[in-house]
Amino acid sequence: MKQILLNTENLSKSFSTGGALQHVLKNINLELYKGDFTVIMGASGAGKSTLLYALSGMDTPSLGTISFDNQVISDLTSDGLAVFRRKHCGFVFQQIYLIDGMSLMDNVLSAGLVANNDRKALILRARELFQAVGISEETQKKFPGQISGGEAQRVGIVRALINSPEIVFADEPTGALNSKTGLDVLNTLTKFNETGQSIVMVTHDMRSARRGNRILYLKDGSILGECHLGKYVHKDEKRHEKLSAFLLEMGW
Amino acid sequence: MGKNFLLIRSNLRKTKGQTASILALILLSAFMLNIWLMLAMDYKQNFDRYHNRLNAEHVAFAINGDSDKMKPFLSETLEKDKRTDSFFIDRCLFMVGSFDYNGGEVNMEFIILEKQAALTRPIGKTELIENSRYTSGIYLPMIYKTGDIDIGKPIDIMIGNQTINYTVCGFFNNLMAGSHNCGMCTLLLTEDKYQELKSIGCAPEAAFVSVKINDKTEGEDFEATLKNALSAKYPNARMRSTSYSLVSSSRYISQMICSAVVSAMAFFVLLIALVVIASGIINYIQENMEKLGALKAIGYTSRQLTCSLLFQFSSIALIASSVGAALSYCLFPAINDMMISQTGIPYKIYFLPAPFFITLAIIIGTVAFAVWLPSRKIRDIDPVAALRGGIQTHSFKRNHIPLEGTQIPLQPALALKASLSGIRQNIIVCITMLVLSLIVVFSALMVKNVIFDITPFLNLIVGETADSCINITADAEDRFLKDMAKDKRIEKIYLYNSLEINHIGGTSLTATLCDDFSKVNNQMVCFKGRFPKYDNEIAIAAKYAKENNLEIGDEIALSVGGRQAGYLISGFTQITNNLGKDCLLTREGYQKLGTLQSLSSISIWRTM
Ligand SMILES: Nc1ncnc2c1ncn2[C@@H]1O[C@H](COP(=O)(O)OP(=O)(O)OP(=O)(O)O)[C@@H](O)[C@H]1O
Ligand SMILES: [Mg+2]
Repeated sequence: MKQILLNTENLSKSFSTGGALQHVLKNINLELYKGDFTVIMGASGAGKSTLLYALSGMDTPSLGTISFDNQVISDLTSDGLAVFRRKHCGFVFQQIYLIDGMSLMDNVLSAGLVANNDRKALILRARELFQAVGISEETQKKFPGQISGGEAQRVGIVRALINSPEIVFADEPTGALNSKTGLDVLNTLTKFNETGQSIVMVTHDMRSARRGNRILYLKDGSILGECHLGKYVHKDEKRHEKLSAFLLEMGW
Repeated sequence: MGKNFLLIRSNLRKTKGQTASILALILLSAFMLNIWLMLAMDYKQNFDRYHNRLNAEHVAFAINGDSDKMKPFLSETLEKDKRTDSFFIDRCLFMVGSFDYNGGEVNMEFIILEKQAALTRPIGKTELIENSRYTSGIYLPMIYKTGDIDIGKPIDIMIGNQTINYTVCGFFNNLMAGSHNCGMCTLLLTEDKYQELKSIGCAPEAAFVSVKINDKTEGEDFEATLKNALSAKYPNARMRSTSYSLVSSSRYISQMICSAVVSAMAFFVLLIALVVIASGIINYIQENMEKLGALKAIGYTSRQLTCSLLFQFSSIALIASSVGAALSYCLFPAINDMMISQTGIPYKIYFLPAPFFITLAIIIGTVAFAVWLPSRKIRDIDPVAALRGGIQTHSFKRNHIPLEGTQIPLQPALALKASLSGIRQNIIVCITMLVLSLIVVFSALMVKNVIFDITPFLNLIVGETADSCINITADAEDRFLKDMAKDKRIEKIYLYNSLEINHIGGTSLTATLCDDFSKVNNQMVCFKGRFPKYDNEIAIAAKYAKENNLEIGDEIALSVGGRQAGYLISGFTQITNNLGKDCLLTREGYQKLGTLQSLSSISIWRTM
């Protein structure tokens, strides 16, 4: 029996644009489990990012509740949510928004120090993570203006993991990368998932989706279906076929 | 703390120039603030410290006559008054006189005391600052020590109608009568010289009375009632008095002016620093909307982001203002020398914690406010909108000077576009430049008026500076004026006297008489109404009028030695000498009260 990390009850989100109310998320009841690599797929405009922002406490739902470890987070204030995020969540965005006046190491530390004051331990962990994503000590001293997009995305992953979050949220982390550097990033995420890290990732791309063990398909703000793939194995043809069939069924 | 440090270091890396200018501005401002606070908070206190040490009086007065005979009445009058704390009655020689000083002339009422007696008075003590082996001669207030007036050197002192040569034996300090701005000035003579002057007879004997009262703020009222009592008893005796508030404020005029000027400049500079800081923050937030949003997304609260800015600028302010305040101690000795040459009261510089910490508090407080105000904008940054790229980092609300529709050539059109789209920054730069140039002009004028050409400054505080000033006895006036009328070099000439009269129902006033006020250079002295023209008119100081609810057109009664006459108020003057207890009368007007016996001054302006 898997442990529930996050669950939603009747989660709805609507925006009013020019007077008209647009229902982007409709009555979503969802449970996310510890240790899972959950992938959210769906057409453009289906509400994937909106769901991710709601789950990660970056945005508040219009209706319904979200609980993390059986604690309701959907009624926290914006500063309360910020504290929740810094304690429990890590983020990898499509764009990385590194702070350009700081070295890569300092970028990571500044995210770590916001939650944890043990600078020595943080530096050790940052070195470990940097090594795991393949960024050398030389590169760690560089500034964001001096590195490639793939390197930036991997720094983003290090920054997301520095506080050992219970869950990492990633919104199209490979969206802006070419296939080679995208692969590096996916390998990194998979590696961390194998050590028990829970991950929720939004993607458009089948090659990325294949990494997850649980695929959710979102359509018009509701979860249309889901598919379980089991533990990721490299060059697993069956896995690929199963995912293709699922997506076909969903109308991908 | 650590995350603040990282954020701050990254901010500083990007804004080195701005940080340097903020540092410099705050340093300058702290420098001046500390000087101002030292002058304002401690400098005048020094007067009170001295006052205590010399057990100085709150009201001092001299009245011509035999002190032994007057003593019973004086004691009785003083003892009767509940405000009196203690008093001391002494004999002195009391006469107007003058001596050369610093290229000009000191001309005032001298209270001449025997040295030993002066040093041992229980109230209103005199303190010797410099003594010497000379045993026969004169001691002068320390303010008069110059190259020409120094120990061992001879000095000619005119007392009444006699010029007497003395050897300078030393210098002393006396709080209530130790300078030319106290209303009267003590001189000490050695025993032999005192007896000699007494026998010459040019300086009549007088009683010199020092009174301490319970509440020093009542000094002026006390002085007024005392004068009324004395002039009723001795209508013909010449009198002169002075009080704590008059002396303490007039000895510290330069300190007051200096601290006003310095504080104004300090606050100007601080204002610029604050504008630079606030505009820097507005800029920073605008340019980093997305990054700030991303920081919020990874868990920074708005308060943490604001705090890191507060922390950054407060540390800059703390460092710069400590250095600035510390540096002000380097300049303070020079200011102190300047001040002492006017107050005549020595001041020892020491570290003053209160001004120092108040300076830091003012600067850090205002800087924190200037940071906090614009950084409230951080609260409005929505992390989701930032991540979606939905925040506009610049407001391209308007396309200024559309190129398709303009006749302006490309280069100026682009320049205009750039300056219009950054209009906010440009306005701030404009304001900064404006305030800066204001300060520069202000300081340049101050320097010019106070250091290079002090005529306008002197006109401001002392009124008129003639080319020559001559004292003349009443009986020689007519002949002298006739002679002068023949002299082609003379542009204008007028007579004036300064004496005391009593306002019935008020206090005693210093009256300045002039034969014709239309000749006075600074016609602005009378800023409301006009100078007295006829013998029933009077102009009074606006301050005194306000305090006594007097209006132009009111009639007031004046008396001198028992004679009384009414006058119409024709105007208000800006004169604040003698704490505003001042009025102007025509010579004819005064003649209704008494005849002019003492010396008149004649001011002469030469044609150039
Ligand atoms: N702040 C907002 N105001 C109004 N409408 C919004 C807002 N944010 C999102 N939407 C709408 O919600 C819908 C879902 O947006 P969302 O970004 O979640 O889609 P998505 O599934 O992530 O699409 P994509 O794959 O293109 O990233 C869109 O139609 C969008 O227009
Ligand atoms: Mg999206």
